[in-house]
Amino acid sequence: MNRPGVDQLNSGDDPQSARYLADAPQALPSMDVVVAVRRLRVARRWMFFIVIAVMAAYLLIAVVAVGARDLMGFRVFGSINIGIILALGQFGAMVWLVGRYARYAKTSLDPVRKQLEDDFKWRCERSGRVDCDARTHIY
Amino acid sequence: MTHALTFTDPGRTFPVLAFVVVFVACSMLMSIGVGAGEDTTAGFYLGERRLAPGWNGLAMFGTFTSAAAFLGYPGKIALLGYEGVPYLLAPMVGWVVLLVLVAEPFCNSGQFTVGGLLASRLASRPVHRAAGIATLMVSMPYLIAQLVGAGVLAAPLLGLPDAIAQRIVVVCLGGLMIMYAVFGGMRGATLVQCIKGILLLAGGAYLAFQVFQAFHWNPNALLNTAVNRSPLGRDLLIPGADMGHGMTSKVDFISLQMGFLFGVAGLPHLLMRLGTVSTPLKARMSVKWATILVCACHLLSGIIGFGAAAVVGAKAIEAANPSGNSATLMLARAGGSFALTATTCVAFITILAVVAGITLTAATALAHDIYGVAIMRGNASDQSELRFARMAIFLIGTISTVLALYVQSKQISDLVGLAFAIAASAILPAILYGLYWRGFTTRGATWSIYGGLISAVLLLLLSPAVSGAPTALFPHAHFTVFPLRNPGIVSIPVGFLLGWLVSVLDSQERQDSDAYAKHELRALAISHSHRD
Repeated sequence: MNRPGVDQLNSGDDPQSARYLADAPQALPSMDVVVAVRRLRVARRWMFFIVIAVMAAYLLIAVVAVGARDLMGFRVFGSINIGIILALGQFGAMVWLVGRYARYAKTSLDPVRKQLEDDFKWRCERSGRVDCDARTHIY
Repeated sequence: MTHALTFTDPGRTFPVLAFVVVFVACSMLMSIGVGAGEDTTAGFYLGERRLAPGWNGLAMFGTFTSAAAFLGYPGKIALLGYEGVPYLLAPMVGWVVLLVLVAEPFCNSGQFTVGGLLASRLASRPVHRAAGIATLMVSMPYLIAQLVGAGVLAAPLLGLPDAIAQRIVVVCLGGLMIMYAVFGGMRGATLVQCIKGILLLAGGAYLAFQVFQAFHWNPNALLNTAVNRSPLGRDLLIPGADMGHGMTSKVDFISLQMGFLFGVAGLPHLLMRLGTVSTPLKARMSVKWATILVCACHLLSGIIGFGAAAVVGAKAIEAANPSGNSATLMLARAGGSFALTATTCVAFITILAVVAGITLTAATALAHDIYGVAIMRGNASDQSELRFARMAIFLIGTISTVLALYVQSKQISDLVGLAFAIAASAILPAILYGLYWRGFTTRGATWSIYGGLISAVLLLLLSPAVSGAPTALFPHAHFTVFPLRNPGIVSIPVGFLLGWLVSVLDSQERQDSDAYAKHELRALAISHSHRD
């Protein structure tokens, strides 16, 4: 059950990852694993940023709504006021965001993950294990 | 089981009742048919993980959209106008957390309960016990609120808005819910949730179409009529029509929305559905479709709410039910008896699908987390856990039905909000820390879960929702200390803060960096390709 390099690779520090690569040059896959991991970590930071931004934007609108009733009640077109436009805008923004995220994950994240995973699988098989299933081979 | 009630006012109610009975009998047979032969826990809890993502998305939408979204919130909008709109917006926006941060790593963990997820890197028994208790505490109020909401259907179903008729409907629904969950398992629940999802969207679209057609596709005319017929007048379209000018009620409203916003990603019955697909890619697609369907459904609910205000009028709605729960059905009745029958069926299956999913989740928490791991230390056999799970469904179903009968006449609108607030303060912090934070410890997890849970429940007990106010559960007692009816604004930060603080101060538990390294790598290199 020896897992060469995986733990070092994951420690988050590039020097260690570099050491791992120096220790096992023959294990280098087609794609640079360290770069892939770093890219996925950056992407994850972005995902947190987006979620926090969406929550903050929602709460900001909610606070403005209870605080500035006159502003929300400002009529733009007939009975349709700013509050109703903002609410409809939130529906639209939500659908847009969901579609946008799904596309981003599909085009930008999945290929990197797949290559990383192929590398783990390859490494696992090379170490002589037979059960290199997607869910288990990292162990 | 409801056929014995057909004597009551057969002239008008028989078609509705007959339709509902036939409808329920058909879906019941189908659900038992697909669920038959479930004799492993994986089959019973997860339907063997074979579901396609589109169907799972539909089923997630079906589990999520409760009686509140179809009956309660349109009623709130019809009576209070714009103040009801955040009830639709906040739970919808909350799906972002589930989609972006939780769905894929949760599915990838291979677990289907919150306890299982945390136990993949923390001490198994304490986190299973804590998460199991929190799951039960989220599920029970949610379940009771749905069953009480079913009482609203008693009027069109039986033709008498009578306390006894409501009780009969609640008991029948409780019995049906138990049978669905016991015999159908996850596959039966999935089936009823998918049927419900399609019917709910179709029914909502039909009602919204009728509303728009009545006003010649002019939203301005719709809103003007709603304003003219409402006692609130122009204030109908302005936020906070009902809340006065005090600071407390404003903070309270924000607190409610925070509970919805952060609660979605902590709802155990949604998380369990993430376990019914085989890969994280499919989990992401499920949540994507579910979110889009929730957006569509909530938009339709908003249109139905303003439509009911314009077509039926706030006075008639309030006269029928002070909380406005009958607005959707009254709008449907304005469209003729077919529309009323169809809408009643949709509302009935809406409730049934939600309660079947929640009962299954609560029973899983009891059988798997608390009995299987925390009590039997994982030594229970598959067979005995499955037997216990079926017993747990019976137990939970019976208790919640009895409690629903007890609170039938009380004001229960806060119960769904409470379930979301508990999910947001007790479950979400543990999930996010567990998935993403290296320094999270077992003690941090249990403190976060129990701390969030206790603070939410305690604040609610000390709030005007329970005592002091005329609308409270116990109007004549006075132990109000906390001024807000919704605990979220305090209890959510408490949950997050305790999880962080206790983990940081936890010097006894050596943080297992090897376990976390494996965990993080699994989360990063999420398996997408090899299982399709």
